[in-house]
Amino acid sequence: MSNNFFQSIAEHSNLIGIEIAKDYFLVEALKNLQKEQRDKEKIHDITSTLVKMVYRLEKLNNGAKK
Amino acid sequence: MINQITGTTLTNSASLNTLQQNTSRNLPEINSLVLIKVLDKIGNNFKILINGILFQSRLPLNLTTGDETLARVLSQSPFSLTINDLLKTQNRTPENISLLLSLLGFEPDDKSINFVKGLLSAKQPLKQLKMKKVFEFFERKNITNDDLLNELFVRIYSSDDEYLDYVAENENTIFKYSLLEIMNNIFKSVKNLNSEYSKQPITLYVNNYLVRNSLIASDNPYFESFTEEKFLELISYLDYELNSESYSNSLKQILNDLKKDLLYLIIQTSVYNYFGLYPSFLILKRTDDFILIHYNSFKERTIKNYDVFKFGLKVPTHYLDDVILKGFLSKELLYTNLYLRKNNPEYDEELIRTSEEFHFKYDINAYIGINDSNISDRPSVWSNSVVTKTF
Repeated sequence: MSNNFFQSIAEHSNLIGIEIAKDYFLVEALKNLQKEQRDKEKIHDITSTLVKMVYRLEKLNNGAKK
Repeated sequence: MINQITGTTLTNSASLNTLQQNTSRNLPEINSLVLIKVLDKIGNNFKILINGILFQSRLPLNLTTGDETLARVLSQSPFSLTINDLLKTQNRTPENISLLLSLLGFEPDDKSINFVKGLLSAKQPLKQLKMKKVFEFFERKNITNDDLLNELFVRIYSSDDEYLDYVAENENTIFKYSLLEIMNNIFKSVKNLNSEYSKQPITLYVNNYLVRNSLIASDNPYFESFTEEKFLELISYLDYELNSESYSNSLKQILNDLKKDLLYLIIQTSVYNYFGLYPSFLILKRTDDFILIHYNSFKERTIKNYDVFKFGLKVPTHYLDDVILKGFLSKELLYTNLYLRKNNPEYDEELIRTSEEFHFKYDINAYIGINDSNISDRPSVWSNSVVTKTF
């Protein structure tokens, strides 16, 4: 995760009462966010294709009822 | 009396081994469950009470004085126990899990049963004091039927003790809302914006980031890179707009809430990701309505340098109830099971068509099957349950 990302999220998060810079665990967790990013995006795409399929199945089912 | 350990070093955390037995006493029967209570800890040795008999042993897990755990008897001679294989998969019924909870002094309920089921699947020992911390958190936060949070807590429990304390210390900040609540709140804000302020440019801007009009990615370029960085871009834009534009108070409220929820989303997502869970969502616009779709994934294992992810997806529909999909995804293979009523022979053609789409679009061999099931028999999207259908 880029420094800009980290700095920006740290600034905004004061709004919800979280001081990221003082939270060692959260700093680590946020830095790790980008790990597996490519896989996460792939899963997102696969998910979208499967959702499309479910709605086509629904359409088939609904068409059959009519 | 105290039985002396016979010199065996416990290197395998899966079992508690080789305690010299006192032959004058009847030891518990093989496969029976026993309660282990820690009376004292001296160096690496524990004085423990097992069903009223006093032993001295090293234990392959960190317990404090006064703590209790359960074990199953593997053999009587030598007296050998296992602490992380208490119930076989087929025996993990609510009734049996309730019994385990009662033995540890807990009042069983849906939340605690679900949690222990997760611990048993993860082959974790049931440590009374640690479990108490989890149940107290659930109680304070009034958590009900949140399988995603349950899955997170199973993983936190399985990690270092300090993480449970961390969650408790931050329950009014980072964990003020559950991730499901946050996703639902974002969805509500999007719906409100679109129903009350549909003509506002800010609504269109938010939609560009969060709503998929159709499921073709090219229709919505932002979805090509659906990342936390994109959410942060939206937060910064909302911040700018709220400071520079004169919106009505009610619109400001929606935008402010959305901004906060997106922040909670990024921060909690980082925590889930840290523990190997990748929950996310899609907001879909279908003709006259918006639909929220949850999904979850996590790395199951790595085979020949390629990661294998397990995933779960819940798709709300008008005519098929909530369709659940669960499966595995690797670099070249997708294997998924749909849980719905299979009441239309044309479904098979559609499954073949989708498999072909995966092949041409992603170079993935897809195996898609249907598990004909009523809504009550469908598994949770979030739980680490096994795909049962074979192909």
